[in-house]
Amino acid sequence: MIATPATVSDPVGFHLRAAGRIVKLAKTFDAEVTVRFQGRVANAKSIMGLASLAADCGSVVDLEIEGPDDAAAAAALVRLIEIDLAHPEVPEG
Amino acid sequence: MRILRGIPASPGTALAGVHHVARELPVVVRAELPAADLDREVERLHGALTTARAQIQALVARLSADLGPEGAAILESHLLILEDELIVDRAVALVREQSCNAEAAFHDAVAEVAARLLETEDGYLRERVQDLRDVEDRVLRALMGLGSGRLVGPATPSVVAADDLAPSDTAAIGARNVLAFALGAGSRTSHVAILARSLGIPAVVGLGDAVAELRDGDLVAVDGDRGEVVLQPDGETVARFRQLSQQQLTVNAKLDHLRDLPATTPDGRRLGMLVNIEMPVEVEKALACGAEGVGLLRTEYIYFQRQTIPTEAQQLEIYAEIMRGMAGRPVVFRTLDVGGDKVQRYLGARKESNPFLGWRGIRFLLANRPLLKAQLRAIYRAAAGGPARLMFPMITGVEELREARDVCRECVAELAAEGLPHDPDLEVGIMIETPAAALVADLLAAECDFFSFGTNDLVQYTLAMDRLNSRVAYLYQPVHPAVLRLLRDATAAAHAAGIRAGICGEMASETRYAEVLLGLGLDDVSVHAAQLPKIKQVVRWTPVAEAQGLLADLLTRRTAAEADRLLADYLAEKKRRRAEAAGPEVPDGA
Repeated sequence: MIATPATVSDPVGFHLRAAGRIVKLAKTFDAEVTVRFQGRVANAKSIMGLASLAADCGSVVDLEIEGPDDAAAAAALVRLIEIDLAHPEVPEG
Repeated sequence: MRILRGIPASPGTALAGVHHVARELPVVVRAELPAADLDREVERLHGALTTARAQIQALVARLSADLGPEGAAILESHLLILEDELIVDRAVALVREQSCNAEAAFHDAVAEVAARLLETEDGYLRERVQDLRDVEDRVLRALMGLGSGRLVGPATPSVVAADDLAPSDTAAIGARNVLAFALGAGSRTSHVAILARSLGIPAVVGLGDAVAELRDGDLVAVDGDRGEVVLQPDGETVARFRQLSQQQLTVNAKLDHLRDLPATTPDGRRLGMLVNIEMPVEVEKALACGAEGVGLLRTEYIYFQRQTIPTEAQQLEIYAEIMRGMAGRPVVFRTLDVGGDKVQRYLGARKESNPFLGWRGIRFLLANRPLLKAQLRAIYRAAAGGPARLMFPMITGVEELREARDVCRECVAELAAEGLPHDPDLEVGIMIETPAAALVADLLAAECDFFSFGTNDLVQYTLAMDRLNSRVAYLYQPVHPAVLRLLRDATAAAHAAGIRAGICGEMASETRYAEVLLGLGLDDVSVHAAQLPKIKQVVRWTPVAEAQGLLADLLTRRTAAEADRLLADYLAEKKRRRAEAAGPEVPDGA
């Protein structure tokens, strides 16, 4: 299992679109990804779960990744949360 | 005959049949099922989810062409909600645990997630319950074999009645065939009210539950001046409203000849006549009213219309459409002005105890650089297609202006490096809507290209009155000596620095203040399109010297009430004189 923090870079936090991008990416991996923030827990493959974490810009969420492709999943998700979400004009995948 | 009373939101009258738009949730009937039927019930749920998915995918295909890719992004998030384990797995579990029907299980599963969202402090997330309900509605309709329930506009000229209309609903309905709006919810500042005023469509809002009594096809009379909707109007009422519509047409026809004439006073001073708009669809009406340009393009709508942040490319598309429509006339783009009374859905700002003194306007923009830069780049690029101008809201001092202009320079350098067409020298102006900005107008004038007074906020901040608090509403006094002095001095500071000063607040759209604005020596006014001919008429009748005399008199008054009385007396006397001269009728009202 890999555990890593990630700082939310989206200017408006985990809004629905950002959550949607995370879900889409998480679903490309077999690993289970759990996101924790301020005592709340969500599965990274659940859009409403992620959205209801209410993590805003600059806050730090904790990721737990468990599965055969955990290393790749961790790298990709941290990059998305910390860097790519900051750019609203990045086209949706 | 029955009269429903609401809030007058947009003036004018209409007499027409009702077109009722509603998005009511199907009623869920809970049923207990024998254990043997549960597998089939789960299958039925999956079948409905598949149907809903297919419907949304079809909409995505349609909206991509229609509302652009951002509309599709909302629907894509709905697709993810349909697959969300928190909802789907939970609903399946509920069917089995409680031996209940799929409708009840899905409804309960959505309610649990909605409760989670409503627990958060985040206004944006709380709003997302709307998306959940939207998805729930679709799935329940599929389970029950009902149609998809999309809002559509009227096919014949009608009064559109609804409990409430979200900006996206208004976009779906359009303005075609809409003679009036009658809404259960809303206030004078709600989105539909603003839209209705700018399009010159009468509207009554805040009718409450009574709006349910307006049934499709019923003949109703809407009085947007008095805030009344008449059900089953009697013969006399019908005749009265027919006559009112006729008079309206006559007044419009009388003013129509002014369209291509300049707003020049009898002694030869010309005032620029601009309009306030929010979206491309308003351009046609603006030009029909004789607009010489757009003095205020409120860009908030372009953001709020979508539930995701519009990208630079999407903004450019809309901005370029407006520039094309205005055909070489100037367009002032005010950068996103959120905060205060403007709900910030996805923009993620928190509830504040003093939102008007909080994180709004330029403060929000400077704290959200990627968002600001995307908008500035879109505006600079749109300027390649015509005289676009840029305007920053809520400036309180030189520092904010400098910081904003630094970001402008950054954008210009990027665009140049990327080889994208843009206008590096577009004019940059500011809103004067805080007393601080008015008091340091000389310092600000040295570093920008024009001023525009935002009087709604300038009055609110100067007189320390919350304009949404009805108990202090009486303090909304545009001719209060404090307000008049700020307007006079800031205008003088602009002219001393050789830059233009205009006004785009509500004060400009009210005919009773037209002479005051002329007396101030403003260079242009930006008003609701429907008001433009009336203001122009006043300008063409009023010598500057007379307006200056009026302003000088107003400035000698010690209280707002005295100034107001002086103004009322002046207007009454003027109307009397014109009637005596048997000239054309002076149009009433603001």
